[in-house]
Amino acid sequence: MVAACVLFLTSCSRHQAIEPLLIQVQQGNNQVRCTAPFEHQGRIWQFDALKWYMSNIEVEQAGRWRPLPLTNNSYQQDGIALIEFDVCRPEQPLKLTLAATVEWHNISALSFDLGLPFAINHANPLQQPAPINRADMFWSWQLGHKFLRLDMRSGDHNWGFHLGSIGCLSTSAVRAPHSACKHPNLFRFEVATAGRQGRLVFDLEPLLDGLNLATDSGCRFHGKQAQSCAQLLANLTEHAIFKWQ
Amino acid sequence: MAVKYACLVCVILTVGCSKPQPESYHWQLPEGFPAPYVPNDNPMSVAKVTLGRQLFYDRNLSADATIACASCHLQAFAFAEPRATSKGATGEPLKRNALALVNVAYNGSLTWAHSGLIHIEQQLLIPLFSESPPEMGIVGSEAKVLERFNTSEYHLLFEQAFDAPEVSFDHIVKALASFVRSLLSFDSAFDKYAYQGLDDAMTDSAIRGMNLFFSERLECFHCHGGFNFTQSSKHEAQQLDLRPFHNIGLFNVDGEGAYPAVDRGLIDVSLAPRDMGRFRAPTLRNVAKSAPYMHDGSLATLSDVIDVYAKGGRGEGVNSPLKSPFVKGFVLSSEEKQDLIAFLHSLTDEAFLTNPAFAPPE
Repeated sequence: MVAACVLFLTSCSRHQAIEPLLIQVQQGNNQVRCTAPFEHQGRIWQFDALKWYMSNIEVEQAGRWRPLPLTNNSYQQDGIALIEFDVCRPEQPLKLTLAATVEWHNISALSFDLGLPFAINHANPLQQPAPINRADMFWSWQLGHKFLRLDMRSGDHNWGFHLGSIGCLSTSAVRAPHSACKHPNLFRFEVATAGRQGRLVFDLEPLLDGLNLATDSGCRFHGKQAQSCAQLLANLTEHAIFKWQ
Repeated sequence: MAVKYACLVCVILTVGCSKPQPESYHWQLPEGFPAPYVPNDNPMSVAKVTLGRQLFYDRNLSADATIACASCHLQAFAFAEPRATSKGATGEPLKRNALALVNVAYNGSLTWAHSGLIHIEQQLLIPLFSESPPEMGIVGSEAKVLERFNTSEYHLLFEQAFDAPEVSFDHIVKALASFVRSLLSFDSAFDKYAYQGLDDAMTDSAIRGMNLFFSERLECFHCHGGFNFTQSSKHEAQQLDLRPFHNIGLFNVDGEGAYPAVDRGLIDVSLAPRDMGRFRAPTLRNVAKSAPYMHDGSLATLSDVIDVYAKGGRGEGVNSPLKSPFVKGFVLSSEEKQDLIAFLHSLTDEAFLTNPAFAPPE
């Protein structure tokens, strides 16, 4: 009887649920809900798409970085995760599913790439496992994937931001087609967690800073959208798009 | 007696042990012509071409099942279509003219202006999955589209082509690429004259036109030369692609050679300023069938095309500082112009345009 109990308890603790890392989208101090429209610059906007890849996700503990342990599922594969905000799952909040418990009180920072590693970005997308085989994140004309995809609508007006590596061609005819891209656009973010349990926040406000969404159509790095693209890239570099809360 | 039995056993063993070998693909090529380059991960086979052809003509491949590849790539028009620019499944117009699928297996690169799209398998992702605007429009309907091919007929075709009955986009793309690779055209009047040595195959006018085409005066052959009438060509023994993209002075919107923002050519992909207005010179085989011309379909006839080259560009494009040095302009008498047009017509391969192997499956 005691033995059975112990067995039961041991097996219970082995399968104790591992806390995921929750992710939230905000606009400044306000949480944005995927089901609800939100206001920006006096207009009401609706999301058509907001999703992004994260890779090389690491946590810093006592001055050393180690990979954040992720499980494999339809949104995560070998340390790459797709966060899909626009597909509302009220029973399943936005998150990274961890393979082992993280003691957040020991962790000082979290860092990650917004996007895919070079080799995976340019591999045949039709042969990749989920979530890299997602056609809505293909960027075939750049021989790769979108790293971030934000499509919004206000009435008739569409605004979109597609981020990915561009200029991904060989430097000459006699070099392999998969040498480095002219503009990899693979941004690495580091957020200080300061020993607190919390959630990762994606803040739209600093991302959209300096843009007039009503008058421009966004940035897809195709042809002449140079001004919006330059502003968005500057925002990604200079503002705290990701935060810990 | 023992020998007889041994022989029998030998025969049984050999027959039992040998697996049916996949038939190696037989290219329908004139003697001495090099075979196209085929990527290692998609070797050609009759079974793949058969499946690819079925898919090429199947409207079920588009999200709303309204269009097939063949809707914009019609055999009678050398697998191009008689529209300036194509329309996708939603009816939204695309910005470019549908290219003729003629000897695409030999292309150095694909589409009108993209030096990175080397394999047909890479290019196919664009018509299947592009969204702005959608062409086949599959994004958002992936499962629905795949489900349509879960029939016993298709499972058999997939099994024969890939040793697996499962329907996947990877195998769909590989089969389509194989079918497009099989679309070879080497039996025009010009071929009969030049390669088969049949002196009566070309008219005198076409022969004069040919001489003009290959002259230093007109310079056509610089960009449209070689056995495929395009510099953008490679084959199994020559895989070096010399990046043959050219600005022919069709536009000059800012006086400094700029093309319209909506489509600036290779620069939109390479980001290199020198690539402003550069587009790939496509094959001229069957060119008489694939009107209208240029990346935006803005030149309706071969006569219009020749006029632009004769002027050394179009409108202000004549003064473009980015124009190819080969587009200097030339003087052509009206008889010479007719000869040149006759030559371009001699590149038509009627057998290709009517080959039942390329037509819709029964």
